[in-house]
Amino acid sequence: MRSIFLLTTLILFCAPSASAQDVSSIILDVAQEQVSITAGFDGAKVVVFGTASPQDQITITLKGPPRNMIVRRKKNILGMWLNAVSQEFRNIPSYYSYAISSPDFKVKVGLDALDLPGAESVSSLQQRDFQDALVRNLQAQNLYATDAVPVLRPGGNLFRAEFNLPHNTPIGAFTLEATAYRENVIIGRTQRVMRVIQTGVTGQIQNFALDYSFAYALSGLIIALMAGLGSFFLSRRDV
Amino acid sequence: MQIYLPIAEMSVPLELILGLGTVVGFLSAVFGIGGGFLATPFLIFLGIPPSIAVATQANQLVSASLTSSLGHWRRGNVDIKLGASMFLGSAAGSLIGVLLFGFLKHIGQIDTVINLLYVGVLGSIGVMMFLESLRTLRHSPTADARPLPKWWLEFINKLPAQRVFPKSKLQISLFVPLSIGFLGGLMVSLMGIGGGFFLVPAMIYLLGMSTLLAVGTSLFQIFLTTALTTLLHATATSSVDLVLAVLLILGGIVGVKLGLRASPYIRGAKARLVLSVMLILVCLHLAQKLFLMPPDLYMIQER
Repeated sequence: MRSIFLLTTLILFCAPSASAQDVSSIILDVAQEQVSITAGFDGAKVVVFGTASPQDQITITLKGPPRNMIVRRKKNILGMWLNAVSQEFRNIPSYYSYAISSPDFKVKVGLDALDLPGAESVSSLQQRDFQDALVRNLQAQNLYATDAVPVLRPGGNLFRAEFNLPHNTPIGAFTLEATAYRENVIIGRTQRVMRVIQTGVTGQIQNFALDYSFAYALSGLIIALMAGLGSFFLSRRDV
Repeated sequence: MQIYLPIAEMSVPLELILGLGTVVGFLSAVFGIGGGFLATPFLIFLGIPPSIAVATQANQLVSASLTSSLGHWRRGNVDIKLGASMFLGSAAGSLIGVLLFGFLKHIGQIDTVINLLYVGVLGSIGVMMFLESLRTLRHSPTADARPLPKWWLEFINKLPAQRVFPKSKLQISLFVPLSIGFLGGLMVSLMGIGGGFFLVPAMIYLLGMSTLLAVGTSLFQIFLTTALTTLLHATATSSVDLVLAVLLILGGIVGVKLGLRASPYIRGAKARLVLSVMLILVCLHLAQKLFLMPPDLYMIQER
């Protein structure tokens, strides 16, 4: 309900200003600026919407906070498959998913367009293999999209798209970027930031573990001790 | 129902984790084996990072081994002095194991090393238990009080720092329990298992202790070692997931209770035969991952 309200306000607010100044050819917003992870979290939907001229094509990307990843390749050593060669990829998006307004709109927005800077230590052919393996493994963990999400045009200037965050979503600041194209030329681009954070009990536990690691370790130990003692007295008659 | 693990940063099915804890508790109550060697690979299989699986499993072992060692202590089966001496060794083993864990993770070999250790350990307990239960089923008398080999007695009598352990009626160099404990400590910190399957035979065959005292004392030693290891892992790398630990502990309490009720109805040797076949199957499964060509030669790791 709230997002519908927001939508309406947005249209009312934006419609006149869009015609007044042509610069804001695309406007983007996200239904929830914050995705909260609580004890029962099992993935979440990110709903984005905005306005753009109906004749324009739209692409939207959602990128997770940058991380450094290492890709390792196994080699048969003494009959065992061991990690042998590795390559580090710095500051790559920990999550990547994209939406396009029509499936036949060929524009560089998919995984091919991702700029994954790697080390220079391996040959470019090998580099390609490592990069493919990185994307493939991230896709297997549902962190990288395999297909584009549709950008829906419900009518007028409106557009809307839904992204799925998996249960193992990275935590931190996500970047949404929407681009409008008219006859394959970019005519507008806008960005929004969205946060994924742990809240409630799970958030408190994580903060506790990071800020006071010794006290955290100690409380884990105390819980185990009490459970051990409790279980001893509970089953004393059986032992 | 899914539950979110705040340290592992992913969600797992709640029933599955409670069930796993129950199975582990049941096994430890019926067979006296902690079941950590089933739990840790299973947690890793669910996608929980190895460091979190091992450290959290050590935390559950604290609770399980406390319960069992209290039971043995009440019946006078714990040699506190010997257990404490072994703990001196296992504390060093645990500390080195935690450091080694970090190093192996850094060079990208931790999964292989954990896998290899599990294949060796599960394979050897599985085969040993299989042969032992077959022998018992054939009614051949098991040689319980086997005399220690002469060369071994001569060797350990020459070692310095001879100490008397009145409870176990032993006089032995402090270095023997220290080394046994050291290996036990490595197992806890690298594999998330108590190592009772190794400690008990070592105490019987290398120290010449009685089976009951060996079991009780090893549990006491495991309790001290797992408590230290979980503290080290949690402080050094914040890798104990409290939500996961509490679920495993709760399941474990139920499992122990069920196991204690069920144990009179479970015929020892036959049940051990079944368990040993299970262990060998898990071992073969892990070995296949190590020795057969993997479907994807590449793996990714966050730095």
